[in-house]
Amino acid sequence: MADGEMTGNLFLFSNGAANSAAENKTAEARLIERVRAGDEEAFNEFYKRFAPMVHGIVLARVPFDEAADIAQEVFLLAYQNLHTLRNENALGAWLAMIARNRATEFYRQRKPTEELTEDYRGKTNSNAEAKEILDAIRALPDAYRETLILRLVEGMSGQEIADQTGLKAESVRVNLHRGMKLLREKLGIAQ
Amino acid sequence: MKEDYLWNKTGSDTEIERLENALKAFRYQEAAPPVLPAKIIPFEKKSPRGFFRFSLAFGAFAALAIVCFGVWSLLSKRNVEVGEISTPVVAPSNFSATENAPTKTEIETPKNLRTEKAAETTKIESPQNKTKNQFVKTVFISPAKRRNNLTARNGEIKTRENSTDQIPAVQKPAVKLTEEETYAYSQLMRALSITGSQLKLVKDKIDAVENSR
Repeated sequence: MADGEMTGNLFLFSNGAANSAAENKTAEARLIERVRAGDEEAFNEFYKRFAPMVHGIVLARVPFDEAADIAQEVFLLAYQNLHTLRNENALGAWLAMIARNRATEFYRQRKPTEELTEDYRGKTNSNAEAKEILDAIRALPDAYRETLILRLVEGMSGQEIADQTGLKAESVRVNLHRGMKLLREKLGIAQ
Repeated sequence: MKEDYLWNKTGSDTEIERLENALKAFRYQEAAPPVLPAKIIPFEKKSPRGFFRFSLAFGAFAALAIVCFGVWSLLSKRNVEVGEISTPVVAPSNFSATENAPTKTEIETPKNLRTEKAAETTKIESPQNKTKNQFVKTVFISPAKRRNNLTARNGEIKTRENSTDQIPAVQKPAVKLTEEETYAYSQLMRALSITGSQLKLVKDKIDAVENSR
């Protein structure tokens, strides 16, 4: 393939990706307007679209047993504070920030002596292995931790992670690559 | 290839696939959205600042009106007190030379003088010459001087300089004030009396506080 053709293809690809991203942003802005207008159906749609991302961000910080409840609280908080959202096209980033803050607040509200354990009673050894992997991911730096959980636990693609969290695609790619490298070292997995 | 699988799940990577399978247990399980508050209130972008500004302005205006009313009522009460307590200010319009001549002139006239006769004959001021707002006092001069004083017959007021010293007349200069000056004078006297009564009130309060201690 000639260089010019490749460049052209890349240009078209990036242009197409940019166009789809722009369309997504406009769709989000429209969705928010409907939610603000009190449309319950719009809120349900909003919830379904962003629930995996919120759950993943919360799971990166709090025990698995608490993650689902806290994720629901995040959406209620978002609904109550929707008037503070200045840029409707940055909905995902705004929601991610609420999720992180709520997860941090969870630990502040807990008593320091209260032990936080994940309940795996009656579960198989594979779950113990899963817990070990999850703990290893949680031990990584914030940026890698969130991205890896969204990719490996929630099953989102790199582009989906970028679209929903508001990060640049290139940043997500770098985080995935470096995070995976660190995780392999922690788990002793050969590359 | 591995990186492609990590990025967009194209191709394959056994290790990453193993991790995904293991971690699936922690994946988000589709659940019903949270229950919203009982009443969905449509979002209104109306700024509450307008309402707060209006209420603040109204409150400030009401407070100012109350304060002004209080000050006015206080001043009007004190004016009434001043009217009762203070010495009467001679209103120029009420002054009459013939009927309400100040007793001071009568009192000041020495006893050894032929005051009665002087009073009968030497009343200078005639009501006709007195203007309504003039502040005028009666001056008695001696009969001897009267003969030489053509203006006295005409009812002019004599000053001390023109009179002889046999009968010491009321040594007060005749003052003619304009209407504005008269008003200013009355306002000044009123202000002085108000100030005096206020000072008295303050003094009474201070005394009361000291006595209570």
